[in-house]
Amino acid sequence: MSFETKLQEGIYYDKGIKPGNHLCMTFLSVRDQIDAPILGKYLSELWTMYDELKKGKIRDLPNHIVPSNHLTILIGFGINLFKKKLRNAKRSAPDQLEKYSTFKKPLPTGGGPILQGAGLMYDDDIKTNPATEDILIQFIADSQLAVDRCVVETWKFLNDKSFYSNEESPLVLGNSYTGFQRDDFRSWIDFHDGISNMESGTARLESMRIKETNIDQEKWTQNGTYISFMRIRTDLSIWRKLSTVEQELAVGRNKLTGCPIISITESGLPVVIDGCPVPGTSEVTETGNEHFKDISEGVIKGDKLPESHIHKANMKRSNDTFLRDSNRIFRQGYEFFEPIDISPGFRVGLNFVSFQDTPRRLNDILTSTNWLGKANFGGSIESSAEMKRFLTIRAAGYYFVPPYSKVDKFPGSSIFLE
Amino acid sequence: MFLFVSKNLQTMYDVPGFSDNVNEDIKNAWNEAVKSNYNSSDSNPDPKYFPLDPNDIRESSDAKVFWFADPQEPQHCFDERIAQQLSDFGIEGRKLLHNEYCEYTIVKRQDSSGKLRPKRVNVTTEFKAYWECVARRDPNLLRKILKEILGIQPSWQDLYGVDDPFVLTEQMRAAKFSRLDKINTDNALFMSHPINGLSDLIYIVGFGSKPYAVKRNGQIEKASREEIFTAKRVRSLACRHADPAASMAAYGAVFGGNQVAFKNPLGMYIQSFNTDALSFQGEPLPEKWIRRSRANFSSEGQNEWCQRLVIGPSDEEPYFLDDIKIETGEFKEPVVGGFQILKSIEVGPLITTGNPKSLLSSDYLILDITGINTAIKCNKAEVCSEIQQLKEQYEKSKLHTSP
Repeated sequence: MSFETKLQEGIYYDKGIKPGNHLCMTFLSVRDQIDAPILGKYLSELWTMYDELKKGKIRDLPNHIVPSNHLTILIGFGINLFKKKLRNAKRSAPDQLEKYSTFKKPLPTGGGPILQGAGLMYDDDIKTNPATEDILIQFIADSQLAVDRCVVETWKFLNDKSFYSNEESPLVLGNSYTGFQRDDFRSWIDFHDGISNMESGTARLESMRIKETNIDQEKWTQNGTYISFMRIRTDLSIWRKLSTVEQELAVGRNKLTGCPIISITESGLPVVIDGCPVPGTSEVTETGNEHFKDISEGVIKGDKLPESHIHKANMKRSNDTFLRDSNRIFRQGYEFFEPIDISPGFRVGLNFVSFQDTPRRLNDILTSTNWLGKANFGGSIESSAEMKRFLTIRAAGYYFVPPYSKVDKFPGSSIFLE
Repeated sequence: MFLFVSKNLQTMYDVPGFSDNVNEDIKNAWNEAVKSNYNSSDSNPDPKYFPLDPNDIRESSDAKVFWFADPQEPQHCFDERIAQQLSDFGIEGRKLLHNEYCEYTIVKRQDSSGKLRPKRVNVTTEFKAYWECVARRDPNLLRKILKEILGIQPSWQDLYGVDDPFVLTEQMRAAKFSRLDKINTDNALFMSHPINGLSDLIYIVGFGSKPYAVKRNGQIEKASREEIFTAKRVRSLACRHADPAASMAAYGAVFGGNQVAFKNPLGMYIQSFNTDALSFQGEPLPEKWIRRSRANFSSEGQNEWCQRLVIGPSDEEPYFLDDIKIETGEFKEPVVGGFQILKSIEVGPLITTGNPKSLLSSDYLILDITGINTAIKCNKAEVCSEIQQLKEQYEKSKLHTSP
C-alpha cells in the first residue's frame, strides 16, 4: 500500500504563505557507526519531542504552554550518514546525493574554493567545514526565542538520554547558525535582495520537487528535495570602497529604488528600465512595480550588464523550472549578524538556503562560466583581486530532504525502520 | 507566403565559427542552405518576429541561449548512471541519444598490457549542412579541413571514390558525401543525429518565435512550456535540454515585444566548459589535453567558444582518458567517456534580439488548451521505450564481453 508523499514543512514556496522571521540551522553528527533501526528509534523519539515543541509544549514545563510562533521543523540527511555511519540501512543513498552533494574541503591552512570552478572561497580562518555533519535540522519560527529554544531542547534531549540510560547518545549536537528576515527586502550591501525569485506556487515547486522516476530504488525519493546551506560572509569594507555606480553595475539594480538597470551610457552611467518605479512609489518592492522586479529577454542592451550579479545568478528567467537545465532554484535565505571579538566587532552576511530537485542545479550555477563560475559576485569589478574576497564561505553543505507521508514516524524514517 | 526581403541575402552569414577562410562561393552556398531551410521550415518562421537577416534587427542585444550538452532524455527515462553508460555506448548511443546539438566519439587505444582503454573524446557541434556545402563546392577545402582535424590527408578516393573529384559535378560530389560517414563515426567531424541539423535549429527557434498566449479568467497570459508544446502537438520535444531552451528563450523575447534572429556567424557553439572540474595526478589538466578548434572568435574576445573540442592525451603519450579525474566537491571519478565531459559543457547558437515594440491584443496566438491535460511526464515519454531497447542491447553486449 502506498501513501501520498509531499514536501516537508519549512519550505515556503506556495502562494499566500510567508516564511517565519527567524531561522536556526542546526547540525547533528552521528557519533559512530550504528545500526539503522537503533538510530531510527532514537530519531523517532526526538521527532516526537519536536512535534510537542510545535504545540508549545516544553518537557520541563508540563501543562504550561509557551508560544511556538508558527514553528516549523525540517530534517535532512547528508551523504556521510549513508556512506559511513549507517549499518543495515533500509534505503541506499539517492543517486544525486552521492554524486553532487559535497563541497570541497577547505585547505589545511584555511580558505580554498568550495567547488572546482567556483569563484566562492572559504574564509581564511575556515580550516574545516562545519556543515558536513550527518543530519541537518532547519527550525523556522516568528521569534528568535522559538528557534533558539529548539536547539536547547535538542541538547536537553540528547543529554538526558545519555544521563538516564548511562549510555552515550548516538547523536552529537554540532554547530548552529541563526538568521533573520529583513522587512526592508534588502541585504547588508544595502541593495534589494531576493526579489527576482520565481513566482509562488507551481514554478517554485517544480524547481525543487524530485520528479517521478522509473528507477525502483529511487522511487521513495519522489517529492523530496535537496537543501543547500551556505553561510556567506559579506566583507563590507571591500564593498564600501566601490562607488555607488560601481556597486549598481555589479548588482544590476539602482541602489535606492531597486529598479533593474538595462543599459549604460557612453560616460558609464547606469540607465534603469523606463517607468520604474511607477509614479507614487519609491521602490521596486512597492505595489504596482511587480513587473519591474525581473526583466525579460531582450531588454538588456550592451555587453557589460549581463556580467552583473542578478544576471549571472539567473541566466534563464522563465518560470519553466521543471527542467534541470533551467538551473532555477528556490531560495529561502536569512541574513545574519554575529558579534565577534576582533575588529570591527561583528560579522554580517547571508545564510544562503536553497531547495532544488538535484544539487547539480546549484553546482552548475556556481561553476559554469556562463553563470557564476569563477565569479565571486559578478560585474566588471571582478577584475579587482580584492573583490574576489568580497564574499567568503564559513560553512557549506547539501542534504537530502526526504518526502513526508502520514505513515512516516518522521520524514525519512523509511531509511532506518521497516 | 513570406514577407522576407533582404538587402544582401548572399552574404548575411559568415561560415560557422568563422572557422575556415572560404571564398564567396562557399559563403553563398552556406547562406543559400540557411535561406532554404528557413523558407521550408515546418515551423513557418514568422519574419515579423524572427527575421532571417540579423541586420534587420536594430537596438540589438545578445540573448543568452545555451543548455547543458549531456543527453537529458535517458536521464528522465532512467537515471544519470544509465544515461552515461548508454550515451558512451559507441555509435548506437550516439545515434539515439546525442540529440542536444552536441555529439562525441570516444577514441580507444591499447595500453601496454594490451587492454583497450579510452584515450580521448572528440566533441563536435558542427552542422552537417556546412560540411555538405564544402564537400560539394570545394574538395580542396574539405581535404584541408580534414587534414587539420585528423592530422592526415585523406585521398580523393577516400572522400569521393574517384582520383579526381574536380571532374565530378556538384551533384555527383554531393552524392558521395556519405563516404564521410565512417570518418565521422570514428572522429565526430560534424553532428549526424537526425535532429541536430541546421533545419532543426531553424525549426525550433521559428517555433518559439511566436506570440503564443493563453487566456485565463479572460486575461491574456504568457503560456508555459507544457501548454505550448502540448497545444502545438510537439510534446516529444519538451523533455530535452535543447529544444525547450532554444524555443522558450525565443518565445520569452517575442512575448516581451522583441524580434529575434540568429547572430552572425550562425552556428552551434560550445559556449562554456568548466575545465577546473578535470584533473590529472592532482593537478589541473595539461593545456595540450584540451584542444578547442573550428572557431575563430578571438577578435571578439570569445576565444573559448568553439565547435570542436578534443579532450585527452595524444597517441604519443603513455596516458589515457581514464587517468583524468572529474571532480564535484569531494566526489571524484575517472573520465571513461564523453557523457561526463558533456555535463560540464554548455552549447547554443548565437541569438540576437531587439526592435522592441508593444504587442497588440490581435497579435497574440491564443492557444486552445481547454480540456487538455498539459502535464508532461518526461519519465513516460515515448522515447523511453526506444531507450529501453538500447539498454537491453547494451546489457547484452556487456554479457558478451564479460570474462
